[in-house]
Amino acid sequence: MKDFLCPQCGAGLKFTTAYAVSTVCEFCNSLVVRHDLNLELLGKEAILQDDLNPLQVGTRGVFKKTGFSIKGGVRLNHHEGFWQEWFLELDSPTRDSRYAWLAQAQGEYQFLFEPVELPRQSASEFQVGATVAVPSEVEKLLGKWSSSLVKNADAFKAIDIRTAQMTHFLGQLPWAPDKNRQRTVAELSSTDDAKMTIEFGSDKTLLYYGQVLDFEDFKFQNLKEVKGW
Amino acid sequence: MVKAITCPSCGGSVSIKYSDTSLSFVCPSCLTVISNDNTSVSILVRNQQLLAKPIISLGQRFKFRGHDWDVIGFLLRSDKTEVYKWSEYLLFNPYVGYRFLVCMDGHWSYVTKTKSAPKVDSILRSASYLGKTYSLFNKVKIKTLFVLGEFYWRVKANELVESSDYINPPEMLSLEKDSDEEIWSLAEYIPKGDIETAFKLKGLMPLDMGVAPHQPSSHNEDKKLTMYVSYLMCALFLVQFGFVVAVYRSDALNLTYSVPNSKGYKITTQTFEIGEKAGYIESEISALVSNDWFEAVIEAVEEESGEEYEFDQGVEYYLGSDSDGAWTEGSQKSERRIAKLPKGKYHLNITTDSGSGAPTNLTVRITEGNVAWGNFFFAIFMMAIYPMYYFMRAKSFEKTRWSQSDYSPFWSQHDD
Repeated sequence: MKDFLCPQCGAGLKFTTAYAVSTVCEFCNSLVVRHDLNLELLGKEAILQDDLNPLQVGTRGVFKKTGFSIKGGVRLNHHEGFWQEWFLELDSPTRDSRYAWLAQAQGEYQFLFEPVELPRQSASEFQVGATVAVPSEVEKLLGKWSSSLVKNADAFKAIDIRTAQMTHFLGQLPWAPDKNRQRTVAELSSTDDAKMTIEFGSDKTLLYYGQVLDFEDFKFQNLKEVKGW
Repeated sequence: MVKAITCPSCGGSVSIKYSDTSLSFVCPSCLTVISNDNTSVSILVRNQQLLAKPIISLGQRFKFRGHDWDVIGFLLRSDKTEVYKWSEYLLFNPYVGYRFLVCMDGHWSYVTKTKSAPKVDSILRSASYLGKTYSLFNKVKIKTLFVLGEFYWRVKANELVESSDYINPPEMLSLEKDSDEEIWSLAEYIPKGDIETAFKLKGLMPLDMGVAPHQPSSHNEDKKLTMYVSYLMCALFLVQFGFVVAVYRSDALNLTYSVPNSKGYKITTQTFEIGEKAGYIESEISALVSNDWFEAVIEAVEEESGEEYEFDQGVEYYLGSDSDGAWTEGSQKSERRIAKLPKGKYHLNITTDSGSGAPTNLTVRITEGNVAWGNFFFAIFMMAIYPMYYFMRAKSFEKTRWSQSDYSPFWSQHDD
């Protein structure tokens, strides 16, 4: 992997995973996006006060025998609280999921595979209770993951839609952070072993799918010490 | 982490222990509920009255179910009428998240948010989650009357929440639905001794009253015993059945005689053989009588030794009709178990008698290899007493449980 230097402070930048497109400089906290060999400076990141969160860049875990390590993350705020999404490098990436995500909200941990693209839809024409049209090839892929998703029309019903503000970026991420930092996501009704979310991006609509597990199930290592615990 | 804030209502200083994750908190001096935004604070609920005192002190840390928990919040909740009240404690651990401890009528539950939404069947009135089915117990509107401590959500004042409870003891699935969201949680019934120990509540525990919706039946141990008794009963039946098959019943004599005058008529039967079969010997007679009694004095004579065994046996049969219609009484047939006859060749000397002396036909049948059922039924009956007692008690427990429900399987909704 080619070495990149921070356009702000000149320190070595970490692009350690092939899918990383942006990274936060460890020394000056600048957010840097990579365009092939060119670097774009997006500005300085505020330091996230996140004392209570045991997860950090570098934490390792396991999802159903597949090891992963946290490479980066993003914090999202909305009026009813916040959640965090961690970008995971997989020890054994597959064609269907080259990398993955770990969403963390109110003590709940949700493993999500690399999202699949849905026909573009805008959040404004989408409401709670609406059913999502899922192309058959995507349905097939989801069925491979969870039998409870097959022919379960309820599974693709939106139960919650919220717009959140991306407030902080940490480490490496597989996309260039949106400069306006808004994100609208819809939570789809869950089934026995599957959780799904839709992200309405400006240029594409993405479907995330995965599962909620208990903290213990992930067998986390290299956790951040939470003071007092 | 710990953040000191000036209460926007009374000006007192409030410290929020988990300011990163707590979205609302209560000022301990004026009880105002305050929203904790990133940059500012605002008032959510004014003029809260001190309606209850938590018995588990907020801010303390306890070990329960393998994790340390900080008790950070307390909620007093009630039904719509504000008559029926209960307390909830919010527990927090930065690694594993949030749990609730609910105390209702002195019964305790440990509550976790579900990982996915259970599937509701509105026809069967049930919900299924992770392979288990829960029966609808109640649908009520609930509200929060009073809060203390800090919370990971923004406390709303006086909002009615629709709640549905589904039970499969010792668990209860609950759905809470407000204008914004639907939250499913799973409550596990916890024996009060466990709570008393873990949360150091010796001498502070409220009395438990009645039966909680998801309280496990106190008859689970009896259930096991009942199962064993049932196995034993099956085994006994198999033994008895095996015996019947092994012995098999056979006729030694089966003949019909015409009796021209049943008063003092004498019959001598042909010779028949009695073997050494297990089981007992039975004599069966039938005489075609109506509105009459018939009796036979029977002498079984062993032909080689001349040994005699005497017994008598009768039938009576009456019939007629009255205002209720036709009736009959008695039977034209009777069986009698007779003492074990030694192996040998026998004939019977029969002397008949009857009320009217009318002519009749008499059938005499001697069988051997009969198996007694009396002891068997007695044993079965004795063994059934306990399971029946258990069954009644368990049923009465379930009736008490469901008496609090609008969806009791024990009676239809029309008769309460």
